[in-house]
Amino acid sequence: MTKRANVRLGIILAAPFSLSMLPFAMVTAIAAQNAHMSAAEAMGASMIIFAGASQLTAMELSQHGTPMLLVFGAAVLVNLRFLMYSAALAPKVRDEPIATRSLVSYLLTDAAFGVSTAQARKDSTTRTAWFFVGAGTAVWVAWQIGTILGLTVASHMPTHLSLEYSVGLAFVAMAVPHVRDWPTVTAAAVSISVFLIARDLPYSTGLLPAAAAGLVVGLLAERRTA
Amino acid sequence: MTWTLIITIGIATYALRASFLLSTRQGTSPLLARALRFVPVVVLPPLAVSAVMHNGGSTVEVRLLCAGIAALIGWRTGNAAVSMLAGMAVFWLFLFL
Repeated sequence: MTKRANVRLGIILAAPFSLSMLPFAMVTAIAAQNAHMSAAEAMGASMIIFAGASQLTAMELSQHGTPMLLVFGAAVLVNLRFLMYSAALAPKVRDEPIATRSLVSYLLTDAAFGVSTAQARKDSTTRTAWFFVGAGTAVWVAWQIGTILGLTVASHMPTHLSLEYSVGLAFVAMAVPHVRDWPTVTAAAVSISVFLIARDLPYSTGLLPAAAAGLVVGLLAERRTA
Repeated sequence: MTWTLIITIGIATYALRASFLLSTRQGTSPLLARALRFVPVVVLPPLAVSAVMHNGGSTVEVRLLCAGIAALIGWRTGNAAVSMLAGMAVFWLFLFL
């Protein structure tokens, strides 16, 4: 397959996933408005951070006057999974020039990674880097369009619709796929419990002990079942 | 959320994405890989509970109930967008009926 054909296939196969990213991008715009961010800042976040969970986490936390260092820490924490994706993708693109690998890095998201690894498994002749650039671009375009749509919708919708409730639902929808077996259920339950016990701590700082407790219990539960 | 935060989070996120793609390092250690798998599991659910409790009209009980329904739909369908849209629809039912 030519470079162009790889890119095109990536765009086509990622299109349905990109479409389903739209509501999430719209929610980041709503969350941005809750956090009193300007339209330029909301767009900046979608272009520079370009990671939904991270954007929503930073916006949700900064709304409660959380110190900047904690907002930064939490937003980066939810992106640690990119380390795994980066490690998994690296062998498939090792021979590409550094410019291509830089672009692949920028475009790395859950959706693009999922589509590309599935394609690589299915058809070994796919040139993963270029397929990935196509898939990543489709997701990127949808993400920016969704942010613009969200900014427009949020500023025109009446407040009694409580659109801001969608921020909570977006977190729920993002969390659910990660909870899939006994150890992850245990870890999630422990982290929620500790967070609720510690919820009177100022500025959501309870998130740190909650995550730490969930992590330890989850790893122990995994060891027991293994 | 300020430009300082947007840019620093952006740079850190890019560093994570580029970590293995732009270096010659190979693979993560098994323990690190296991720990990384748990990070979203222990960070996103408490944030979900907090965001549901703090955002939106109606009562906390209704918000938590609708979020529970959305979670169930997400788990059954495996589709995050459907989960969120269905959750919003159920929430509006409670809000306006």
